[in-house]
Amino acid sequence: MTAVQERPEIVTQEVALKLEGVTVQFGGVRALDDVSMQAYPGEVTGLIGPNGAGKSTLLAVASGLQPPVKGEVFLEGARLTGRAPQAFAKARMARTFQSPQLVKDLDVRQHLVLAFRVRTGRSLLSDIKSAFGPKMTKDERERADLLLGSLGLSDVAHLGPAELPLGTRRLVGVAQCVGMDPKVLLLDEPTAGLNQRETDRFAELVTTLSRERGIATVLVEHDIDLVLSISARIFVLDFGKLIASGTPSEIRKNKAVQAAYIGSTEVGA
Amino acid sequence: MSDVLLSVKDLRIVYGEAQAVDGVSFDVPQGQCLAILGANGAGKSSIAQCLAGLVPAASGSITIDGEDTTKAHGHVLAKQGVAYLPEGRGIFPTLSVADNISLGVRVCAKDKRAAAEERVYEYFPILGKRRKQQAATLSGGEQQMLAVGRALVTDPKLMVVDELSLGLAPLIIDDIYAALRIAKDGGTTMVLIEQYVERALAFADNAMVLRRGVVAWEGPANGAAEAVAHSYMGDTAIDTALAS
Amino acid sequence: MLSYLIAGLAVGAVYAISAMALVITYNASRVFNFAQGGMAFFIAYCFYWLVNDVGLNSYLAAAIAVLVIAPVLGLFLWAVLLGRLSSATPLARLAAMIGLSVALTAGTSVIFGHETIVQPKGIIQNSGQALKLGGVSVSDEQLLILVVAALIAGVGYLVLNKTSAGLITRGAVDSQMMTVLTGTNPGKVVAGTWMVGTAIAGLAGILIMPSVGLSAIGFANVVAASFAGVVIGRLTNLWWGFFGALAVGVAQSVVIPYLPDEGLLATALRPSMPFLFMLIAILVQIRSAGVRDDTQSREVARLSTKAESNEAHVHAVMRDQRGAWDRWVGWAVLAVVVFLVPIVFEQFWVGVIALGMAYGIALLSIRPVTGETNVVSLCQISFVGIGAIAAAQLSTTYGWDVTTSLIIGAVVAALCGLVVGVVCLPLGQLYAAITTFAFALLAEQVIYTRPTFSNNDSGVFLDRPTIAGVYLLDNTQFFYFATAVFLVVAGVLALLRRSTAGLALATIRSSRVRASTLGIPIYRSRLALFALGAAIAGLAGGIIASYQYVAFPAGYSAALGLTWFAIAVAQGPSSIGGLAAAGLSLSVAPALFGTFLPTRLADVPAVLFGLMAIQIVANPAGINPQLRSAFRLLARKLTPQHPPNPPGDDEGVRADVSTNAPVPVGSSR
Repeated sequence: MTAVQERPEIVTQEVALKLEGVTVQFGGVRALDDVSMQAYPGEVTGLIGPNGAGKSTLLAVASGLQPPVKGEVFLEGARLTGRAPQAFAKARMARTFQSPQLVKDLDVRQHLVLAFRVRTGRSLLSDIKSAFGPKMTKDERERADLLLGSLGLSDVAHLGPAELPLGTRRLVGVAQCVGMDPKVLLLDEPTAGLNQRETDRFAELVTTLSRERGIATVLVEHDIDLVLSISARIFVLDFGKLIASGTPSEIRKNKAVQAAYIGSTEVGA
Repeated sequence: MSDVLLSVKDLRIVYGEAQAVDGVSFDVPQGQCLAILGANGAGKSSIAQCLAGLVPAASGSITIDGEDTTKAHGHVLAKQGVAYLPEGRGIFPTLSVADNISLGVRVCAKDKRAAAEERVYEYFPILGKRRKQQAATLSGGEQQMLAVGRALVTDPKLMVVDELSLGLAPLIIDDIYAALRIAKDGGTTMVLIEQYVERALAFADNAMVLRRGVVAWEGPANGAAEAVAHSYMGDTAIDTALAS
Repeated sequence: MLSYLIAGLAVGAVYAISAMALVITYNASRVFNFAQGGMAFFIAYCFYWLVNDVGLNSYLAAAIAVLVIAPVLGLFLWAVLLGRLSSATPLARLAAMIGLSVALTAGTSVIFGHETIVQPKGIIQNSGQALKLGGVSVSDEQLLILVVAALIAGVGYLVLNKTSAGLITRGAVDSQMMTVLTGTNPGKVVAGTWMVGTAIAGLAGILIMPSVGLSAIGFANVVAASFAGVVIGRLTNLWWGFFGALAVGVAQSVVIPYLPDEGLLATALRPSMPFLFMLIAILVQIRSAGVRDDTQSREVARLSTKAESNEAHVHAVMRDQRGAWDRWVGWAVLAVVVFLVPIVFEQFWVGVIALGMAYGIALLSIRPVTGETNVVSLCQISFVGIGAIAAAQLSTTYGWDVTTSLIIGAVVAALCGLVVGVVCLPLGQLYAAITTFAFALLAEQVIYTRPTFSNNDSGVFLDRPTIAGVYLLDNTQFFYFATAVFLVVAGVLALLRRSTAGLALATIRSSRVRASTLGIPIYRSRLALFALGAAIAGLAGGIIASYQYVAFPAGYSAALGLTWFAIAVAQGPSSIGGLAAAGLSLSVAPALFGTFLPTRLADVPAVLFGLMAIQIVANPAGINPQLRSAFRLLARKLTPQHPPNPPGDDEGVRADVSTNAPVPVGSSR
């Protein structure tokens, strides 16, 4: 509830996620070319760029789904490059996907319970014990309900994903990630397909979550307006290259960014 | 020439699980070009695919040349002179250039097909040297020429062009636009979806900006740049850009 | 040597024609024709009927069968089923095609008669020597096959490359969307390829008929052998498939002179060759994306929404706890049934039901494999066979205690399961199905035929177990035993689902990327589950064999495995009640038909099982979960309402979402 970091000029904090010189190649095409970026705890870091700029690939690298040809991934200083996605998750890196990727056989609460148990660590013994225990312990249920309440999802806790609208499913995806108590949270186009009202609500929740829990959130979005309004700092990709980075106001003024988006430097002229 | 060729009324498209387009209406007069702009995911491509009959409309209506085509299938529309150039490359990748073109001109009457095939090579002579080559092995620009060429020579009454210049070098884009210009001057009505705003506005007569499935702005293409920038980067962006 | 080469070419040519039909239809529709053996069987039988019962000239009969009956069959199947499959999930496609295969094969026997015709005459009624080639005589049947294969390849090449119909087909294979945009209805192209594909499949059937006889299993084996060619061509390359299959046939024949006179190699190498080829081809290709992912899903853009919403409805109803007391009704009914069965029925029927429960245990193995892991395993029946064989060997040959033998049999099956799982779990669903089917055929050829196991086709004795001092001689006692084992295994599976591992497995099933980014190990978990399935199947094998007093390997054929899979999936691959019902119907339905109806109708149950499997295209959850959810709805109506639930809200689960969430977009009813 405390520790509200205002604007990013205070760069004394520990870096949560650090990507260094990441290069990814698909066949002959360089999807990412020597891209570096950082994300800090408690704030939202925006990642934008036109279609095909390599944003999703960068997220895949940061979550371990795509090993880079060159470059390094660090989480709180620990090198994760080349490890399996599971190792990234153990190091408390969480991510969402454009399609929410929820589990049709589980209800919303169970999604969170799984995240809690993954966080505490599983073993054969604990799995066998869990089979004979209740579906979820009282403690787990309370924690789940608390988290769902903070995201405004209390009413849907007992429903399955197929019964929820897209916007709510996206939030459940975020809730499951938060249930892992992550240090870094990667959000892949979380507002695509949502209307303006849902988008505004989402933006507010993400900002609050990051601040209150000290999560370094990386937001990949096409809605630049949204990114500009909630990010502390922003990285801009175009054709696999980092073309700009800085605070929202710096990015707004950046000619290269305007050119990449508008195809022109004469905006407002 | 101010007859309306394409008329879209209150179109809604539900795409998989997301509402892609929510109540969009517009008219395109005969022989004119409408540019549809907006950020990715704003619903542009959904409209294009719906016009081509590839995606069903959840509600609303589409009228082309006086005929209600809302429920028409894509292959029927293709025969009726609606040419759609899909995002990416509108080609058969494993077929040869010549095969691509012979399939492309099948929407023409039988007696016109041979002549139409030859016209593709007139538009883009480079393709003439590549007849036997597999389309997937062409360069990106040549692939797009093939896609545009095969559509142009069928003399469509409506052309819907989706992200034509994605990933292409500026000089090649110029060539392709020049070919589109010839078709437009010949009376083909067009709907143009383009991420290079400046180029689209220079080509189109009118423009429309979509934001999250609804129309954020519409008007003549001339002077639309500012509105477009608003839509892309938000109001504050423009103010700072103007101030700087 | 030359004579072996020519014989091999003749067999290989039939494989090649069959492979061609598979590739053509798969390319156009992305549906792998598991039913092709059934199609070929039906058309060959039509030909046989036209010649022998109608009295037509054999050439005319062949022309009618291939050029009229086959295309009509293809068109009919396209209209009622195949055309809709492209919008179904890969699992539903496979299950429907397997169901179709079972229904077609059994249906042919129902229509034309039950007995196998061992040496039917083919197109050439009085076969003799046609010509001598380098001192080797070539029969005119062989010559005909070679000429037809060459003709089909030649005509196929010309049609595909020189005609506009061929061009359109190649275009449709390349891109469905571009086909639409160039003014062609892709549905027509797909229908056309099914007509052509069925005709070619039927021709292959008529050509091979004289050598394999008019038996469904013979046809299934020929088509399965052609799978090897198809896999070599990565399912999509026509000419690799054609010549790959041809090579398999040749290889099968030219090794003959080098085989030893006795031993495993002598009997098993030749029939198992296609499957070895297939495994090698898959291992070579395993690094390519098309093999690991679902090549089928390339065109799956929008899944059939009706099927999805049906399934979601079942889930939603069962998730709501109101009316959950209905499960006590289920338990009560079960208790009464278990109590009543031995009282009401004679010993014979009690035995039939006991065997049904044992089958039920076998089918429970489908729940961890297909229900939890989403793998279409067509070799569960082989693990059953392996379990039976192992238990019989240990108990009878080595004199172990029966109960111990049953358990060790399960362990042996689990080890085999690990081996199969290591190969097929990295594969996509379709490749995994093909691989497991190949394994089932391989087991049939290599393991079941060992003289020690088959014991001159009479099987090896296995005694009934003694449990807690009671020797289960009596069918009633065996019924209690089988039911108890079923309930224990079902209980283990139910506990598994509610454990943390169950949550993790559900996540893997829904989304592997999600699971991996949550830190859940994927390969290890799936492999463990696959081995568990094999163990359950192996245990069931021992129990079935001990009920029958004999481990009779030929009773666990790959073809029968398809029927098992069809009925299990139809009832619901993750539903315990459904699998029990499926197991019971496997035993009870044939007994009923055999006892009360003419033998001619003996295959009707299989037809029904096949048709039931097909309906999962519309209702993916399966029959049992559907009935179960209907029952829950009824129970809910009878339950006094709690305040939070709006009154009279039968299926309005969505209504709960209302206030702070916007209206679901895709859900307008």
